[in-house]
This record gives sequence, structure tokens and C-alpha cells, in this order.
Amino acid sequence: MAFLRSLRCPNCGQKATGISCPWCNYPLMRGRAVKEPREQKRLKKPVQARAKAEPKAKEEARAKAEPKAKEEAREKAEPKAKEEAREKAEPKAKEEARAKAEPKAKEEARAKAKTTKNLYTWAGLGLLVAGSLVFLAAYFVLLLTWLAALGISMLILSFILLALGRTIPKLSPEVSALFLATGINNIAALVEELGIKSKAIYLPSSLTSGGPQVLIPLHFNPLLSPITKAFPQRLIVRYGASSDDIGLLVTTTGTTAVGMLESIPGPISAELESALTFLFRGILGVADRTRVITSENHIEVEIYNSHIENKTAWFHQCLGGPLASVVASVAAEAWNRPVTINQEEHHGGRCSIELEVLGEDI
Amino acid sequence: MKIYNSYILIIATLLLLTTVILVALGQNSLDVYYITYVIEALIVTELYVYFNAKARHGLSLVSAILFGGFLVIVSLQVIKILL
Repeated sequence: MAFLRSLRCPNCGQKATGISCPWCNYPLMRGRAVKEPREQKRLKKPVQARAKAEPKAKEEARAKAEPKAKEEAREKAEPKAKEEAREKAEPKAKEEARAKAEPKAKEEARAKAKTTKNLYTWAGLGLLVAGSLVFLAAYFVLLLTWLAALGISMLILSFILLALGRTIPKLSPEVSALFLATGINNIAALVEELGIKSKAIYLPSSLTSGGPQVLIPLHFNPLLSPITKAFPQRLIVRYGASSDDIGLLVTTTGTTAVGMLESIPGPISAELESALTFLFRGILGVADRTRVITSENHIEVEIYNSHIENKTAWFHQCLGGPLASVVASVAAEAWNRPVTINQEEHHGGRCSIELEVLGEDI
Repeated sequence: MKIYNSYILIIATLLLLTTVILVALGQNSLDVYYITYVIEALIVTELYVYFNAKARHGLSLVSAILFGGFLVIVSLQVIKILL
């Protein structure tokens, strides 16, 4: 009669009798609960243990992971935030800095301009003021013709000085010497380190990709190969078929000086002489005059009163001195053929240079 | 800048010498002084052919101004003679 006893339905929770719930028709389990088999129990245990341990582990994992995640998130977010902040702050800071620095820089530039105004301009301005005062005083007050004439001569001189003062380069000679020394020292180091003993060949611009340059063969070879085409704009070039026909293609003082000429001279002695005198006397101011004698493929150049000191470093034997370098470059351009420096001698202020014009075959 | 210095020194010396010589000669006309100065300056400038292009341009401008003054003086003298 066990099924007559009332039970609470596990499905709907209503009191029910019989074998199923009269409300929801859910079967009602009666009698003693069946004992679970031992094996099933054993299998259930780890599940239960896991169920118990899981929240704990989860908690621990969360506790561990949270600071890490936070740290990572901060690490990711921080640079971005910093970048944004900098982007916002930078223009403002720059503007402020410029506002502060601009008047200072202007003041400094004005002071510099005042000091860099060359002596010719200052002398010209001084003579202009003095000449005007002398002329006005002599002509209108003192009525002295000779003093007025002296005032006029001072004014003429002031105009000339002001005109010349405008043509003086802004760079000081010291700065120019600095650049020159840097360039020369680098080439010298290169030549000396490679132990080059062969003579440099000055090439005209038609045999290079740009302006006139110097080819320094790495190995001395008396039977040099002909140049068939212009060299590329490279430092290391191959000028022949042999494996040893490799050289350095560099720019020297002379090759740069050719660019200062107003026009390229012809191969005639007089033209070459005029170009060299123009360069040495008018532009560079390093010598008074030059004399050129040409015979077949040899050119002899005499430079008078040169102010450049003669040095006998290793690389000078390869490339020649600064004056010889200029002469060789101009001659190569004038003859439109490769030129090499055969000899260079200095006697006091006089410099004798002997060049050899090479054929199409170098 | 050696060429500039020599040019200025030569011009200054010439102008000073001219003044001394003309004063010694008893010259009392300012026109004569000016014309002599201008001619000397133009000749010396022409002799210095090795100046760079920039300097030559500047000196050409000065020469033009001086020559303008010379023309004014000549014109005034011609007008004076004609009238």
C-alpha cells in the first residue's frame, strides 16, 4: 500500500498519491532509494571533488590573471595615451618655445650680421660719410676747390668699396679652410690606407657622368686599357678588361675649381693661361700670374707668387698639390683628354708643373 | 681678396696723386678734378680683367654712375659754350 501514501511531486511540487502526479503526470518514485553501486560512487567522487575545487581554482586563477591582464592593458594603453598626450602638447609647447626663442634668435642674427659685415663695406660707409661732409664743408662753407675735389675722390672710392664689399663671400676663410681640410684629409686617408703609388689621372667631364674627376688606379699598370665610355658616378670603377683595372673615381680641389670658370678654355696656351690666371688671381687669390707652354702632349705651367704652402704627403705624390690639381683639371677640360701630373716643383713662391696629356688610351 | 686690395690701393693712390698734381698746377675748376678722377677710375677698372663676374657687375654699375656724372658736366659745359 505504499503507493497510497502521499508524496510531494518532484516536478510540480504538489502533494500527490499513486504512481504518477495527478497534476503534471510526472512518475512518482516510491520505496527505498536504490543504493548506488560502489563503482559508480567511485567514479562520481572526482567529479564532485572537481565541482568543489572548480570555483576555488577559478577564484585563484582570476586573482592571478587579473593583475596580469591589468598590467598588460596598462602597458598597451599607456604608450597610446602618451602619444596622444604628446600630440596634443607638442604643438603648444613648440609654439611657446618659438615665441620665446624667436626674438632671441632675431637679436643674435642681427648682431651676427653686424659683425660679419665685411671690412670693405665698413670702409666704404666710412668714406661715404666723411667724403660727403668734406665736400659739403669745402664747397659751401670753406670755398676750397682742392678740398672739395678730395671729398669727391673719397666718394668715388666709397662707391667702389661698397660695390666690392657686396661680392665678398659670407663664409669666413677659416670656415672654408675647415671644409677643404676635411675633404682633403678623407681622400688622403683613403689613398694612404690603400697604399696607392700610381699617379692619378685627371679626367675631363666628357669621360665622367658629372663634372671633371680624378681616376686613381689601385694598381700600377704601364699598359693601361683605353676608356671606351664615360665612367658611372661611382667611387670604385673598372677602367679596363683586366681584373686589376680597378680605380677610385674621386673629386678633388682642382676638379671643383673648374666649375668656377666662366667658360671652358680651348687647348691653346694663351687660353689656358688666361683661364688659370683668372682662377688663381681673380677667384681664388692664391697666385699673381701664370705662364703656359705647350709642346705636343706636354704642358708646362709656371705659377708666380703662389701663397699655398708646399706639402709632401703621400697623397700629394699621387694626386699632386692643390695648385697642380687645379692646373691638371683645367688642362684636362681644355684638351678634353685625360691628363696626368708628371712633375711638380716649388721654388719659393714659384711653382712649376709639368703635365702629360694622355691619348684616348690611358 | 688680394686683387681687391691692390685695385683699391691703386685707385686711391692715383686719385690722391691727381689731386696733388692738379693743386700744384693751380687748377681751380672742380669739373676738371672730377673728369680726371672718372677717367682714371674707368681705365684702372678696365685693366683689372681678372675680377670675378659679381665684382665686375658691381664695378660696372659704379662706372655707369661716374660716367653719368661726367656726361652731366660735359653737357653743362656745352650748354655754357652755346649760350
